[in-house]
Amino acid sequence: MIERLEKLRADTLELLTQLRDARAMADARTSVLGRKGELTTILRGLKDLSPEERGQVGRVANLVKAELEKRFDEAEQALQDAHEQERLSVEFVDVTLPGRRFIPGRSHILHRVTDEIINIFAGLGFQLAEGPEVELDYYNFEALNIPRDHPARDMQDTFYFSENVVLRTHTSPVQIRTMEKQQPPVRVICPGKVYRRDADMTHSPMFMQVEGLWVDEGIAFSDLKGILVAFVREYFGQSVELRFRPSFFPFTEPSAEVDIQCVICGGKGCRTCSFSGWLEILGSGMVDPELYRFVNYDPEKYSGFAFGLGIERVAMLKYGVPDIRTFYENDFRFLNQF
Amino acid sequence: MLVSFNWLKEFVEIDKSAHEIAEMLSMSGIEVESITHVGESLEKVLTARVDEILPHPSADTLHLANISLGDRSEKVVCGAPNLRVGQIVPYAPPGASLPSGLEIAAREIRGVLSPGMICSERELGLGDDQSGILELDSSAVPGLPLTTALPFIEDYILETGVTPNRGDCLSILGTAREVAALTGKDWRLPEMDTREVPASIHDRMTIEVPDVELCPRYVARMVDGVKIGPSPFDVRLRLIRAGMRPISNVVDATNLILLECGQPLHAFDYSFLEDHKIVVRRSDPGEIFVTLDGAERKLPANALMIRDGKRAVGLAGIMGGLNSEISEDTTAVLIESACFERFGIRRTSKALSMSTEASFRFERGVDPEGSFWAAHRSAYLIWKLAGGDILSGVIDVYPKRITRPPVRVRAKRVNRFLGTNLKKKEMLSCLNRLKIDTKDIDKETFEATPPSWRWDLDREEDMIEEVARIYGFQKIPVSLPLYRSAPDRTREHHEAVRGVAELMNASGFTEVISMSFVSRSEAEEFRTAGDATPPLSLINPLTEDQMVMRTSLIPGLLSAMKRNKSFWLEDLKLYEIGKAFLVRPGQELPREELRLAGLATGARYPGLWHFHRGEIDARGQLDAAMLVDFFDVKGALENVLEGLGIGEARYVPSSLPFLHPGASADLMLEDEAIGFAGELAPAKAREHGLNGRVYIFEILLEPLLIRSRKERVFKPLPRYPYIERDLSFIVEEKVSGDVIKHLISRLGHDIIASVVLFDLYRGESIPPGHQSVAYRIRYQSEDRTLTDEEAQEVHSRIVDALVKEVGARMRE
Repeated sequence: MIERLEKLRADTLELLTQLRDARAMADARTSVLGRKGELTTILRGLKDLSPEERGQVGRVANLVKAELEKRFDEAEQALQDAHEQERLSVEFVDVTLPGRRFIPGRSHILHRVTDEIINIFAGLGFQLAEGPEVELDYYNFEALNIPRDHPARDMQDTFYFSENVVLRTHTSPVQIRTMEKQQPPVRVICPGKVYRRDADMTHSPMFMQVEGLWVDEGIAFSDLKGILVAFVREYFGQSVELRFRPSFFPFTEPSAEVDIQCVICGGKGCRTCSFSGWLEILGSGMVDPELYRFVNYDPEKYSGFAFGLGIERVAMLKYGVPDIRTFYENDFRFLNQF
Repeated sequence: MLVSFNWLKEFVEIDKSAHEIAEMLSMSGIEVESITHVGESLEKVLTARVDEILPHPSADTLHLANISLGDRSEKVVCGAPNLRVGQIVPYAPPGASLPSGLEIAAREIRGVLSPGMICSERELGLGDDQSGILELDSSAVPGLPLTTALPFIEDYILETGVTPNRGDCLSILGTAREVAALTGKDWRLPEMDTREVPASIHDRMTIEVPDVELCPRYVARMVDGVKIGPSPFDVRLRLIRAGMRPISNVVDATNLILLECGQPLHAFDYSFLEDHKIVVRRSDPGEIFVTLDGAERKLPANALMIRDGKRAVGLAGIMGGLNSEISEDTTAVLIESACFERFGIRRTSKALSMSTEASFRFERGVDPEGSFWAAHRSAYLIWKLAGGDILSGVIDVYPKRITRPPVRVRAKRVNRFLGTNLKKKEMLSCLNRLKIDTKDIDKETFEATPPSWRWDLDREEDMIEEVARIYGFQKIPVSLPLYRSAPDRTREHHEAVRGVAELMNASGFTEVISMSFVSRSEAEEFRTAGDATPPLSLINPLTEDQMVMRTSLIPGLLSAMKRNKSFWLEDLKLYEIGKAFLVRPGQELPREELRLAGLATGARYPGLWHFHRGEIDARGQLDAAMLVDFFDVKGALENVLEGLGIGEARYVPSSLPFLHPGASADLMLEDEAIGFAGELAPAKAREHGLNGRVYIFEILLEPLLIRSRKERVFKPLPRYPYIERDLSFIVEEKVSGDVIKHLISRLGHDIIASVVLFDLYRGESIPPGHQSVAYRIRYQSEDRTLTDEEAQEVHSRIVDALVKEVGARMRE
């Protein structure tokens, strides 16, 4: 019986050197060590032996069993390692190829710029107001202190539907509509499309503006400066210089044009800033008290400031776009750059 | 306005450079848009005297001129017809370069070597005249650089952008007054040594102004015996550099004064004034008048006219008449220097679409006191340039003197309004520099009276602005306003709209922005039912393509698509969020509807290698091309609706004429149609020259945004296992997915967790008009573990119903 065990051991070890796949390995294990396997069969014969022999053979059988189990484990492990090694050596993806994705679209750059601007002003305390694009002459001009025969009407070439109805030339009518609805304090920005009868590299018949208005007790020109300095530095960078130049708008007094240091050349002078180092970016001023008459505010009690900027202008400067019309041509090669 | 720096210096002492002055003006409200250095390249051109003229040996039209340069002489070839002995002329020697870029060198002309050339006005860049050489003042010394002999030719031209409130700055004088205020110097008027003859204008002319409210002041003077001819070079150059064309000495004199002090003048040929009389009165109904540009004009009502004893001779403040124009034969000149009412001139010039140098200034207000000075100045200048005699006396019709009322200013308010801490003394100093008279009322208050040329200063704020301007905006401090904080939901709507944009982006669509105006045909093309009013039309469109307000966003998307296709971009998914404008009968303003529209065409996954072998299309076929179809636009809409939390939308076949009837739907929200989605009808696509299928949709956004504000409520997560059963059957194509889904849900009671269509097939082995579909139903209960039997019972009922109710043929 000892011989049979020895033979089984020798045969099995020999077999293990030849097995190359997991399935055969598992089968061999079962046929040797399984419930109906050879070793079990041999052990079943133990009961026919004398107690001394049984003890002796049993010890040998246990040793053989333990050894074979260990050898099977090792062989299986080796086989698995070999398989994994082979898989790793064969499998290969080109990691430089493009990923699989569902390509998202994107928002128009002008809307993203608008939102950035809205967010900055929201942080400074401004609420948001919107209004109609087709507007009454009254809101677009009259109530903004631009009477019918005033040369200031020449400043904005207007699209008309009738004598009384126009395409708004600025978002200022929203300011009047807002003030009509509420007493101060008023702090609003009014983004939206506006229209002027003009088309060239720097003018589009439709364009976008953000205008702001702040009316309260004791609001001063210095506050206007503070708010605009804060906005410009937030948007264009903390080191950008500003300058305020007197100008004229019928609805503000005093009025100021705001220039920023050229963002292209840093103020040294380049083509974009016509070698002046400065770029005109905002119109602004203290709300003309004449407007308060139209909305029943007390000009002795309240004062305020207003400003407006062209979104395209801001985007053109920020991204170096030379022609305003590009924004409305909807060319994917342009839209996908931002 | 083009302001000559040299000219400016005649009115105010300047010890700064042109660039420094430009900067000061810009920073105080007169924006200098450009500075041009002119005449600076002419220092190598010399003055020369023509001493002798000899014929050219081989050309009849050319001459040889012996010219003296003081210490030496040269012999140059010259073809000018006006070459004369004794003339002083500009001579460009070899090595000189002319403004045109021409480099002068000794050159052989028809066999004779010419060391340089004698130049015309045009060759020197000093004017348009090229009919002959430029003749300089005969007293000039020969041999000097031109820029030394004629120092005025080197100049800086400042282009100022004058705002509509500052009509007083539309002149050299006005600009000089600003410069004076800014530099602390004083300005001055030019001296005139006028000599008059005893004969008086009062014996030769009468002037009546019945319409005095349209013409507050009318001043006239006369010069007799003038000789009309060209103006001297320096006068012509001055006009040219200000952007005006020299005409004749008398007309040039009036234009010179217009530029000098901003007072438009008109010179009449006295001999044409019938009855030697001027009457200033408005137009008669239907009156027609021929202006001096030869145009016959039908006059609007209330146009102010200058008339003689019988007829109109001028359109007041805008343009003179052809019938009394100065001509070569004019000898007696009547000069009009009037102050017309601003708004009257503007109304007439607008009505006639005529804007002239004169009307531009009258609209912005001229100085009523300046009118008087300008009348004298014109008589003097005409006399200087055209000779003759200045008649004594002046006719001045000025029945009611224009005064500027004083404005009360509170120093405290100035500081409060500006955020400054100025002393009253500083404020007064700013104002006084602008010739605004000030008078103390008390410690705190003063009165400020503007000068006659300032129309724009009649309120306290106006004075505050003047203080700020002269003090300097840059010196005003920077502060931030205080406010009481409060919750702010005003951005909610805007953010919701941008949220929709994000959802569209996530669906692979790119945002475009199109013009709000379209052509008339585009506005009619994509209107939905129930919207029959004509589109809103512009009175003054820029182009035919932009004549009316859009009634749909689709035309803009189609244009964007076409543009991209023209650049060979064929795979496009784009959308726009914007307004459509719909006329509301009986209302002045249209309804502005915020809409979302989208368009998809071409390949679904442009250029990605992973999707190259195909996927299942709307007909259940393997589609290798993977072009977009109805379900791409519907999918995008579903993403939007789901993102907004709207579950109840339905899609019903649409009958809109511009859509494919078999591949289009109206989107219904609680029985209200809020938009459509579908394939562009083949006929439409053909009309637009499109090959390939195009899918579009357009929906109203407000109904969605209103509903999206619903709160969402938590539902407990399922705790018990589910059982899945598949259903596979053949059914007629016209049995809609909605019908099947409703049938399944109806029979499923409360144990169906989900129904998913996972396969659809039409084609081979399926009878025509039928399709094979497969659904996976998930059975699950919220309160217990379902048994197979329970699920099977429901499932069998569903199978029975499908067979009986919709004629399904079950597949194994």
